[in-house]
Amino acid sequence: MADQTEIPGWGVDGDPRKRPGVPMLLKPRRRPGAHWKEPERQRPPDVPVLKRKERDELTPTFGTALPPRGLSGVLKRVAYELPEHSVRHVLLLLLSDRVDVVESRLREWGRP
Amino acid sequence: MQAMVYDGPYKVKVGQKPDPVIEHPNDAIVRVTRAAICGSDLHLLHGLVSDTRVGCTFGHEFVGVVEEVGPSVRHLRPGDRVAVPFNISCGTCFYCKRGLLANCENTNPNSDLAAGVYGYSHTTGGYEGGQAQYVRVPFADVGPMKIPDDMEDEEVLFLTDILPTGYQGAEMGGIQAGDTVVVFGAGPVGLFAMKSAWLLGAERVIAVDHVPYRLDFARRYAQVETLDFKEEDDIVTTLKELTEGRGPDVTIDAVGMEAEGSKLHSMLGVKLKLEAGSPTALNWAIQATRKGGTVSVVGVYGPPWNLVPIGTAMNKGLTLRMNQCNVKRYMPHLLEHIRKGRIDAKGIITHRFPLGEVARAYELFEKKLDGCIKCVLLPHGHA
Repeated sequence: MADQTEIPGWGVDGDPRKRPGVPMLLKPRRRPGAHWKEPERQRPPDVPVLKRKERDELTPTFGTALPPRGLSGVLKRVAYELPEHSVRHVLLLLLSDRVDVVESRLREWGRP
Repeated sequence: MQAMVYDGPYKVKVGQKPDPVIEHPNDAIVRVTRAAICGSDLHLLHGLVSDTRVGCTFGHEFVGVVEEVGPSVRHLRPGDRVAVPFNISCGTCFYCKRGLLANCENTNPNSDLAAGVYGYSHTTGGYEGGQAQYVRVPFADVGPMKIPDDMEDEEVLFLTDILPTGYQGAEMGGIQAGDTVVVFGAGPVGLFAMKSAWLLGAERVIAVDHVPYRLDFARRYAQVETLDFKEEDDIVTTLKELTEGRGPDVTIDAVGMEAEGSKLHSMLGVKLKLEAGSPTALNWAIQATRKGGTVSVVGVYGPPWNLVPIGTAMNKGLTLRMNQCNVKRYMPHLLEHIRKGRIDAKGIITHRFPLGEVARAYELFEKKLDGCIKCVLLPHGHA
């Protein structure tokens, strides 16, 4: 067993009140740096961005990388029309990922 | 710009992509000076995370210099050095107000599971990652921490994920003086969980893994006892024997969905994908922890399910704690631990590569070659 006296800082956070997670559980408050009540919304994307079925609109920020395309994109669109907790949602997304790999290989081979 | 590119399961390469642009008034563009490869990047690499699209760039552990800011950014300006938490958080939603920055509901349109994360599939919002020369950083007033002038990039790089994750893993264990803590996984997160367990006052810390060089490193770096589960008949029995037959007070799963140690789960979860990876470390944690003890999970798991002995947890009265790490709330606290020499965060870096050698870096990290603990990428070379 280790000799704790040789461990730098042993026990310095022993008091639960000194642990970063605990005070955050006490009183909801805006995080430092946030100077809005509701965040502004990102400009509408100029590429298709999918969202889960339960949301009416995109979140205030989102990624715009790699819009859905091809058959894999069709499968993703179907998947995101299913509730997130549904197994079919996850399995369709995983299937779409495999199709995406095949499609990307075909695109590579098709290039001059 | 140059960026790491995912080319399908088990394949990465370096490619050229357009430079990122400001897309939201509170965005910043950061020139990445250091980006690390995380163990959870390997789950993406292995095709275990849904909606990981060919062509995406990974990387959620990075530091850099602010290059450009959007019109509503008040707290950062070009030239500031920043460490960027892996979670993208708005700072004002129901969850952010409660410190649950990893659960922000305003940054991930694709899933209710977690906040947006840099370079971690479209399941976490479809953001490009930091294993690139430049990256877009949304809600720049909330996430990034300015790096103090007296600190080097590499000293604070791991404040962006693995150090707070390890600390939160230990903190969620509710460690009390006199406790025995077992950490499953002697990778980077596990190492920081071990260090954190000492800071929280653990009496005894035991690391469990099966990679000899990593166990050696854990003994030296974190002064812990170690067990190689491949050398034990039954690791759960061994852990109970070491703790008066009861089991450890707290166990921390710092492994996640690709745990070795069970042929059944490796076949079902990793090979056949009939469950979301292999939950072997979690199962050992539940089976080993003493009645009334706590299991803390920071290893990554995904949907839809895993075979986990929940009845054992229920009947033993275990407390199960888990989440992705709420990185930002730990940054100032852990920065002081680094500054005071209690945690040598930089000390786990074993390899550095230019971005152009990203495939080699992944290979080394994934296959645990050359004594690799942690790989860091230098997107702009050594300057």
